[in-house]
Amino acid sequence: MILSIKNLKKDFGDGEVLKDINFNVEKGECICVIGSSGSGKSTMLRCINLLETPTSGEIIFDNQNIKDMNVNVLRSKIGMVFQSFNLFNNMNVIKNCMVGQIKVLKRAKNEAREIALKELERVGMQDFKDKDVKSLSGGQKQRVAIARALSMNPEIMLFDEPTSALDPEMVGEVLNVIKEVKDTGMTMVIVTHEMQFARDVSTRIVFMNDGVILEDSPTEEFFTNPKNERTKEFLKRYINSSN
Amino acid sequence: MLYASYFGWIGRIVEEYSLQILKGIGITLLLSLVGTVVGFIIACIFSYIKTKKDAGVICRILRVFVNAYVTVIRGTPMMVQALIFYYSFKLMGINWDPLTSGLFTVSINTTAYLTEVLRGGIESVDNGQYEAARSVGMGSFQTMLFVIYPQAIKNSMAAIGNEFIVNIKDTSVLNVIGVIEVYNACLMAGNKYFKVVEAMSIAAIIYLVLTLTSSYILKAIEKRVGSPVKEITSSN
Ligand SMILES: Nc1ncnc2c1ncn2[C@@H]1O[C@H](COP(=O)(O)OP(=O)(O)O)[C@@H](O)[C@H]1O
Ligand SMILES: [Mg+2]
Repeated sequence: MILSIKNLKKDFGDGEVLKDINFNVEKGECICVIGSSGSGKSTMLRCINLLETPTSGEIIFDNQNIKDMNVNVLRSKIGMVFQSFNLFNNMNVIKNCMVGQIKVLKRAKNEAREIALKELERVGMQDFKDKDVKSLSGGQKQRVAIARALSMNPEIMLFDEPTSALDPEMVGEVLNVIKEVKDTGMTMVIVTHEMQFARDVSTRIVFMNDGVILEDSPTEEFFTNPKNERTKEFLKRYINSSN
Repeated sequence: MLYASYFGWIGRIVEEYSLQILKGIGITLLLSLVGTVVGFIIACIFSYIKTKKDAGVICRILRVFVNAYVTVIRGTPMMVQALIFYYSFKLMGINWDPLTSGLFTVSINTTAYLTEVLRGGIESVDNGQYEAARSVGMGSFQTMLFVIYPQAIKNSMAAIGNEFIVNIKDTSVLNVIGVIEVYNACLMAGNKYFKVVEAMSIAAIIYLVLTLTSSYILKAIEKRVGSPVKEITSSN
């Protein structure tokens, strides 16, 4: 077990946003987190790398309570991909993929460059390595953001709605890259609204509603035989809207 | 002939005092340049103290000091500051010359303004940049140094350049402690013949040439460094 979340609660001061979250992630698993907007998906993801501080509960990463870990060491082992890409605007594509390796992992420049190039190749962006990030399309930016995270050789990758800010025609290229990363055996937790993608890529689905996990099932079971009433409703809405 | 005598006197003063006036121009440029550079360097530190997230106890104590500093300096005229620094240091036994004291004053003064400029520049950088840097494991200082400041400074280029131009003009008040910059040099030249208007016309033209040239050069630099970046703001 690479990640274990126990009784996680988060309160921003005006009511609980996460109310007793429990779930585990095994090495090599790909978990999709779904649920309506405002249900606490981002907050949960952000608690894992301590971008938010949990109000209570325990998060165990690599058999260590993350509270006892150096926060920068923890984060260097967790790749995070944001909805809005957040590429460093003051660096070109390859520098985006090198800076963390050099400054955090203390890798030599040459080594960092080689690894960055390899990861950019993996996401199909090697030809853009010297480009300014502002010149890229949304889909290209997100692919670079994935390469940036992969360059750190993380043990787990977290995606927070990686395609929600993209024009529809660019969603596919990013989802394909994520699928390829999954096929290399990377452990992943993906918050997404792309149901077909979730069904294709994930081994398990976690369904959140109003700060709690209502359902945590193997993917096929989730889609064919949901247990919870809210899940059924949610899936019905999705099926209706995609027809 | 009024005009003939006006231009005549200008010509005469320039001819007779060209060396002193040139020296004055040098002093004015020195004060503005040193003030802006030193002010910028200290402002980098002060703006860090002002904007640091998850600030510890020491940082919060320093922040109180920085805030008070900025308020006092920006709320009082540089002329008053110059007199206070110059004479209080003398009273404490530090016997400094007017120029050193002037450099000190203009640096202290510019620091306060540029601290606010940089704070604005830092706050204009999308928070997603900060979060992304922290997410790859960079510490708070590394994040500021490698990601936030390069963007904040770029966003602030126009305002920093403007501060330099303001300094060219405002260092004229340093005449009160005896610094002989453009204004004082021209005034002293004119005083010999009681020709204040002529002397100040010379000063005005010099200031105009200095500020226009500087603004032209700064615009060129700004263009090369590039215009500020607008980022899509994050909603997650
Ligand atoms: N920094 C914050 N301060 C206060 N409330 C927040 C903050 N971040 C999120 N919230 C609130 O927490 C709830 C869950 O948000 P979020 O985790 O972003 O949901 P989701 O990602 O599922 O859409 C929302 O009601 C949101 O307004
Ligand atoms: Mg969200």
